Amino acid sequence: MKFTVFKIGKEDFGIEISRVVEILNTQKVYSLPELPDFLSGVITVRGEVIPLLDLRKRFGILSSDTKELIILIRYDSEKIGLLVDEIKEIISLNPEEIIVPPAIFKGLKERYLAGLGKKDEGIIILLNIDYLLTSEEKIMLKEAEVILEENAGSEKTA
Amino acid sequence: MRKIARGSLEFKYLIFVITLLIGGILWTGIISFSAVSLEKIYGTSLNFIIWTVLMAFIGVSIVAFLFWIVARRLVIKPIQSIEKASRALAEGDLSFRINISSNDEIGRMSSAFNQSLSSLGDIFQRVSNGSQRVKSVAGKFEQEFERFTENTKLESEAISNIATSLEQMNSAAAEIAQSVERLAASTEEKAASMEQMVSSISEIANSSQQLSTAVDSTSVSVEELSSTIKEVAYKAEELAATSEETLAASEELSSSIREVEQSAKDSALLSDKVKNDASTFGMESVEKTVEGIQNIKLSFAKTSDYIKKLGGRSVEIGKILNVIDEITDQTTLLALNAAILAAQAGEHGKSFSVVADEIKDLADRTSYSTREIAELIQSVQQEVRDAIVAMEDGMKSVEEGLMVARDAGDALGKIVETSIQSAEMSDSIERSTAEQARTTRLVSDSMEKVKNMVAQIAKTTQEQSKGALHITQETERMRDVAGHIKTATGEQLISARQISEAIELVSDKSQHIVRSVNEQRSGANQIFKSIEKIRDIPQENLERILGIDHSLKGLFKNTELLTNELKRIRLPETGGDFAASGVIRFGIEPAGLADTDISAKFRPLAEYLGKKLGRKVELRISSDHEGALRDIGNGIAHISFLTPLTYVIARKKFGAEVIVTSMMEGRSGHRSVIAARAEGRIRSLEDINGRNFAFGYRHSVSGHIAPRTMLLDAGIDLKNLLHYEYFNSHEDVAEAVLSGNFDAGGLKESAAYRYQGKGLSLLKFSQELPGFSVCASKSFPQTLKYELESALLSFATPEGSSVLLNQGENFTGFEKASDADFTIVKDMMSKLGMF
Repeated sequence: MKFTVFKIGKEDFGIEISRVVEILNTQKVYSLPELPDFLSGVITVRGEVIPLLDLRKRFGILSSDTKELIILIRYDSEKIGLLVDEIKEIISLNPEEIIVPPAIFKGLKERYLAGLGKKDEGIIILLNIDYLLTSEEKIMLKEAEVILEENAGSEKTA
Repeated sequence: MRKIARGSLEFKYLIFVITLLIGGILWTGIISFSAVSLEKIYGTSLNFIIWTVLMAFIGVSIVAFLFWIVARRLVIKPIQSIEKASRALAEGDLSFRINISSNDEIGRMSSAFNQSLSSLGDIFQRVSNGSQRVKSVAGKFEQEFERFTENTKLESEAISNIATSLEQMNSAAAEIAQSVERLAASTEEKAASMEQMVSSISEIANSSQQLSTAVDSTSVSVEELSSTIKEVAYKAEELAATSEETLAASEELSSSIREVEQSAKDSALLSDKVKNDASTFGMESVEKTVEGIQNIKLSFAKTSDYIKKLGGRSVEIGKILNVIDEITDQTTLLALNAAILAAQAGEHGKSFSVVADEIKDLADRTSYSTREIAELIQSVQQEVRDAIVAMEDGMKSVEEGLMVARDAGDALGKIVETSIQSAEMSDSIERSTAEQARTTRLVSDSMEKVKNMVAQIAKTTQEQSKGALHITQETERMRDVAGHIKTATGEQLISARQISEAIELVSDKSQHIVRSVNEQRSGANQIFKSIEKIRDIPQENLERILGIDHSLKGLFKNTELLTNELKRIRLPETGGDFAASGVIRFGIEPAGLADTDISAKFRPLAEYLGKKLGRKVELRISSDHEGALRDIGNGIAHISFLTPLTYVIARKKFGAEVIVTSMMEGRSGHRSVIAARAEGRIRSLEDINGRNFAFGYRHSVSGHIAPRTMLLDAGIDLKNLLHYEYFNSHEDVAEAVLSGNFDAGGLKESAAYRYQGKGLSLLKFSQELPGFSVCASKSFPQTLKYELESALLSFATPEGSSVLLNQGENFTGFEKASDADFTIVKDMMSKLGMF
């Protein structure tokens, strides 16, 4: 299995590559009045308006790095941008290299965690991105997307 | 109709007359009845008449007897006792009292008689006291007179002694006058011969005076000559010295001129050399230096430019590097995306994935090397900046060097100029010094000649001076001799004159003496005469004194007679009349209060005592302290309300005894205070020295004795006070002090406290003092004393308190007292010399 590896603070995280659409340089972030609190704003990628989720905020990791990149991923039928520090590489892990998270991690938000990947002495936290948002958030995201589409529509008509 | 009192004498007499009338009528009836029967029997009329007469006689006798009995009972006995009393009075017995208790005229008369007797007794008591005082005064007076008489006698003797000694003196003076007259005559003779002597000495003095003046004038001219010669010699010597000095100086001058000449020459040479060196080598090298420095400056500027350009280039390189960096980033991103796409493509994308990896590697390496280049460029830029700073510093120092070189050039120019000037000056100095040297040589030569000439002058003047000296010495000697003569004759003359004057003086004096002795003699005669007269005066005085003495003796005798007479009158015993009259006389010492006030204040107390003791208590207000003393002393007052001071004296003089002391506001004692105005300058007792002081009532302890003792303890006697006065009450003292008329005052504390709020400051308090006291006279009966004491002590009970209220604001009751309570007053009085 292949994973896109990125960095937030000092930690390495991995996302299954099949869910990744594209990696983007940072660009202008628009904040819209009716957006839910957990979203940082929206970006436009080739005319498409995409909501942006700051993973550093979500994981509560303070990052001193000035560099930032956006990983664009597929979420259900939609796309969502994840704001991270740095994209390191793309790696492939054998199934024996992936271990089930130990009980100690249960204190963390277990549902994010798909497993831990061992690579070159380091550990990569493998994310289960389907559980990045709570069901409420998912509903709010849907509603937000409806608003965004409407806005995009009104923008087009204007 | 006038009412006739029952029991009066008139009433009794009326009854008697009525009884007599009834008896007479009855008797006449009997007689007339008997007469009818007698007419019938005429023959026996004689017998009847005899009987009738007998009967009438018997009736009259009975009536007379009855009358006698009644009269004796009612009139004769009382009149007899009055007669007895009058006889006793006539004999001078005033102690006698009529004892008639009846209520009729005679009874009243006898009680009036008794009263007048007792008041007569009082009067005689006072007369007796008075006569005793007169007697003692007369005794003293007589003693004084005896002394006076003796003195007069002594005086008389003394005067006659004076007279005799005056006579002696007079005769002695006459003798003196005679001898002085003789002396005067002899001195006159001496004076004449002395005058002759004086005139001859005067002549000698005149001639020696002339001689002396001649010698003097010679001496003066010789001295003048000598002094001018000396001056010439001195001047010549001075001249020689100066010419020699001048010579030496001119020689020194010429030598120094030579030196100047030489150094001028040297300096001219030197200046020339300097000029040449400076203008040839110096200027050239300075110019070269300037040029070199300017070259350095130019090349510095160029270098600086290059370096700045280099800096600019490196900045450009930096910009290019940034672009490269961006491209690398982009490439990396693309490679990543490609890798993602390749991975998603699965097996088809595998080869693509490899390419993407390689691209990413390349991009990474590019990124790394750009980072290195950037670092290098950064360090280059830093170095360029440092180089620019260093170059700027270098430029600054180059410019400074240029400036210094230019300054050096200027300085050299100036040196050249001045060396040219100095060379010129040296030249001119050389020339003028040469001339100077020539003239100096000329001066030296002429000075040499002057020196020789002066030496010759000096030699001749020295010889001259020696001759003059001889002359001077000779004249000097001559003058001395003349002077001696002059002074000797002068002195002789003076002493002769003095002798003459002295003789004249003696003559004058002796004449004076004669005159004054004569005057003295006449004066003495006058004195003698007046002494004679004076001698008569003491004699007259003595006679008069004898007369006075005689009359005094008469007075004394009369007083004695009076006293004896009074002695013969038996006076009522003091105190003894309590039994008779039952009246207690209560004496009050006024102590500065008005009479009306006193009776108003003390009447309630007197009434209270009267009720308690069952006797009449009469107030007797004494005129003053003395009066109060007298009254308690001679028993006119049986008990007295006295100041502590008066009590102490009454105790000492008359054996009065204290019963109670008054309490003031519940306290048995009180204190005296010395107070001053709070605003005034008196702060302590010592400040009172030399100031005005207000005392209270003179015989009050708290108003006078205690303040005076406190003052004395502070070293202030009455004579140390500027002025002092006695006031009647403590309140008057407080007002006097507050008004500012008095600097301080003494008063009792209760009054002082009342005035404290009005600005009175209390300086010092005395010890506790006893208050007013009630005392009994010596003869006051002991039993009554106890009754009085208990009555006074119970005065403070609620029953008595209403009486007390009228007693003045301070008195609140009485307290048992003994003489020991008054020791403090005695001590104070003895300290003040009053006890």
